[in-house]
Formats: sequence, C-alpha cells, structure tokens
Amino acid sequence: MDCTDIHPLLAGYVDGELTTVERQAVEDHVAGCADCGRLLAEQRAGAQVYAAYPVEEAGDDDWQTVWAAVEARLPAKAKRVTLESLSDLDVSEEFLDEDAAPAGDGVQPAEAIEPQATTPETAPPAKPEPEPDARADVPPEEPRTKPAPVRLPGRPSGRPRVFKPIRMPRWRHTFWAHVTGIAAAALIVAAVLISVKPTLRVDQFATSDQVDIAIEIDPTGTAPQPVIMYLQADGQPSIPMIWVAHVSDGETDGKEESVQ
Amino acid sequence: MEPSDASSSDRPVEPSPAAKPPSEAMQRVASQVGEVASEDARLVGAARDGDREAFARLFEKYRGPAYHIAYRLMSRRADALDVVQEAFTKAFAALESFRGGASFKTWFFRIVTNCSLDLRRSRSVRRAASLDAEAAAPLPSNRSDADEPHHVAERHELKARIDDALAAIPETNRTAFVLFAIEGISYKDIAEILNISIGTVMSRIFYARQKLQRILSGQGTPGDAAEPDAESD
Repeated sequence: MDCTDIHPLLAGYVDGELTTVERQAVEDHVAGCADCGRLLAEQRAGAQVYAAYPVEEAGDDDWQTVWAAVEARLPAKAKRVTLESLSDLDVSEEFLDEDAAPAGDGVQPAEAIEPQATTPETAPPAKPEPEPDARADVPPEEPRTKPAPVRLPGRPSGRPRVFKPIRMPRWRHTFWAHVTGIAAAALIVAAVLISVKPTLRVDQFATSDQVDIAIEIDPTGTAPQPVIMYLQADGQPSIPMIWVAHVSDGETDGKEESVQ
Repeated sequence: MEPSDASSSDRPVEPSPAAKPPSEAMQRVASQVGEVASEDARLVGAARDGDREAFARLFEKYRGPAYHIAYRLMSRRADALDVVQEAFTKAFAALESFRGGASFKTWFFRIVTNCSLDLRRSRSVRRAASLDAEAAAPLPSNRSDADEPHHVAERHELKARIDDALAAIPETNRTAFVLFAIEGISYKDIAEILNISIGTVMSRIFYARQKLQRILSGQGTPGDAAEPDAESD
C-alpha cells in the first residue's frame, strides 16, 4: 500500500474500525513513513479535540414541549378511541346518542379523546398525574357515583343536549383537503370558461366555501346564459347560493340580489 | 471520541485501545444488538397499529441521540430541538412505509440528518444575526466547576472555534465526521445512514478531521480548500 491508500485508513485506525489485516498494514506503513506518522498524529489530535465539543443538553421542559408537538401530529390511527375507552369518559350515558356512537375506526376530534394512561417507565414527558390521595376528602368506603348530567340553559324542552362524536376529519388542515378544494375550484373555472368562453372573464376564485367569480356579461346579449355549477368533493353537482352584484364600468351600484 | 458500536459491523474490526471500549464491553454490546433490533421492530409494529405507548417509547429511546446529532450539525440548542421535533413527526407519519430493510435506528437517524441539513441551509442566513445572542447564553456542563466564569468562557471559545472550523469543511465530510461522535454510531451505521460505503465513510472522516485539526492548530484557515470532498460511491 502506498501513502494514498493508507490515508483514509488512518481515520479507521484511530476509531478502531479496521480489520486486523488493515490495522497491521497501517502500523507497518507508518513505522517507515514519517509523513503518514504525522497524519496519524493529526487524526488522533482531531478526534480528541472534537470529543471535547461542549453540547448544551436539553432539559425536561424542552422534551415535554417537543413531545407535545410530536404527539399532536401523531397519525390519526394513534388517536383512535374505542367504545371501551369512551365508557371511561366522565360523561353520562344519557349524553350519548346511540346512532352517534363511534365506530371502531372512526376518527375522533382531539378534544373528545381522553389521554391514555402510560406506565411510569414508558411515559413521555408529561405533566404528572395528581396523586391518588388528592381525593382524600372522599370517604373510600362510599361508592363513587357518576356526576349528574349537566343540563345546559336555554333548552326549555328539558332534554339534555346530546354530544355527538364528530366523524368529519379536520379537512382544512389536511393536504388532500387543499387538493380537493383546488380541483373543485378548477372544475368550476373550466366549466365556466368552456360554456361561455367568449363572453366571460374569471377574475379570481378561492378554495374556501365562498367562491368569488367576476363575470363580465356580453353587452350584445348574444352570449349564452352562464351556468354556474359547483361540484362537491364527492363529485355530486350542487347549485350554490349566488349573490349577484351589479357592476358597470368598474363601478358597483351597491345592489345585490341572491339567485339560485 | 466516544465509543462506537463497531460490533454491529460485519467487518471483523480490531478495537483501538485509545478510542474503543474494552473487548469485554464490546461483547456485551454485541449481545445486546439483536435485542435492541427486535425491541425496535416490536415497537414499530405496535406504533403502526396505533399504540400511543409505542410511539412514546420510541421517542424516549431515540430523542437523546437524535438531539446530539442535530446539535452537532446545527450548533444551536433551539435549532436542534426543532430538528428533533420535525424528525420524529416525519418518522412517525412515515412509519407505514418503513419496511425494516434497515434498522429503525439508522432509518430514523437518516431522517434526523436530512432534517438537520435542510434546516441548516434554510437558516444559514438567520444564524449570523442570532449568533451574538447565542453567545451570551451559558453552556451547561456536568463538571462541578463548570460555572466558573473562566470555564464558561473557555467552553464558549472552544465551541466557537470548532464551529468555525467545521463550517469550513464540506458538508458531506462534516456530516460523516459529526455522526461518528454520537455514541452507538459506527462506520457501518454511518454508511447506512448516508447510503455510502464504509470506505467512503472512512475517507470523509479522515479529511474532515484533518481539516479540523489543521484549522484549530493554526496550520490552515477556514478558507483553505486543501482537502477534497471525499468521493461518494
């Protein structure tokens, strides 16, 4: 081996990552090569210097913050709650609508999920649970009773408000929601352009529930009537509520009317 | 240099007395490698099924090494924590696509490394403006005399000098060099993380360490381009 072959091996020699044959080759070469001996000393010194690099450790508060952020973005499957876990919620059965009972794979809103208990050795950084003796004022021999359902004011019928688990995922915060919204808006624009291309101009559109489209009517009146159709996320057409503002020469007369 | 998990390599390496733990410790580590891998596989499988406790255990197990990788690549505590958060979020979201071709450890450390490099590039402009404020913060240490003003100043100076020297090293060489400083990461692990051969790992570490030492000893300057960017496979 010449010097150029030996050079990379010097790092492995210092780090103990060489095979026995490679190690012996380095030792034999360095014994007769002053330059490589100097490079080997450099490698040792460099390793020692970097070993002393001061690392500012993270504290428990840091890890709690990081875990909270990571946990909040765990895959939805990790937030699944079952009927059994729902029964642990501090809510009377009277509040649960049978029809609204979540399926096993239903996606639950974050606020409807009770944090799962974790064992001390596996618990992520989290606020400590209150000690059991925090309930010392309750005689242990008395059976615990479920709290009475809270009846909200403003319901003269006296029927308790039914809290139904929300099945709808948080579309607005998902990538596919944006894709679907943009695709739907694009379809609207395409439909408008294809049907009344000679006489209509689309100034803007949005991906939210409210879509603003400026339509310039052909003053000659020869263009076909514009048809605006809104395609829902599932592909079904829907007639939206349309507010029409009268604009002439860039000025609005302030009149608006709703048409369907 | 901290000891590395050389036993996980398929190369019959011979430990260096100066850099490696005793052979008895190496054997002990070797016997634990399989257990660690199987435990990771079990946790990954449980996490895929939505077990929050498995996510928490993976987080607790790898947050420390991930932070050390990120800190050494970012040089700032706040940036390192951002990287760890982003890396865990990405890894957990992509857990379904992890098929166990590599170990979870190297797969996750690759994510940490990529997140670090991405954030380092995106924040390279902002770093310069915030270095003054960072320098004012004390660097904690386990040593009892660490809070002595002159020790704090020494650590600041050492860290600043090493950071400056590392900044002058090509990114590919610096990354391999920095990864080896993390406990439990061997040349073989680095090769898997960076998707290069062990020979390339060795070459990159050699040039990075040579450059670092020459700058720190005054034989070179950060502007020198003496060492090549070690070739990849």
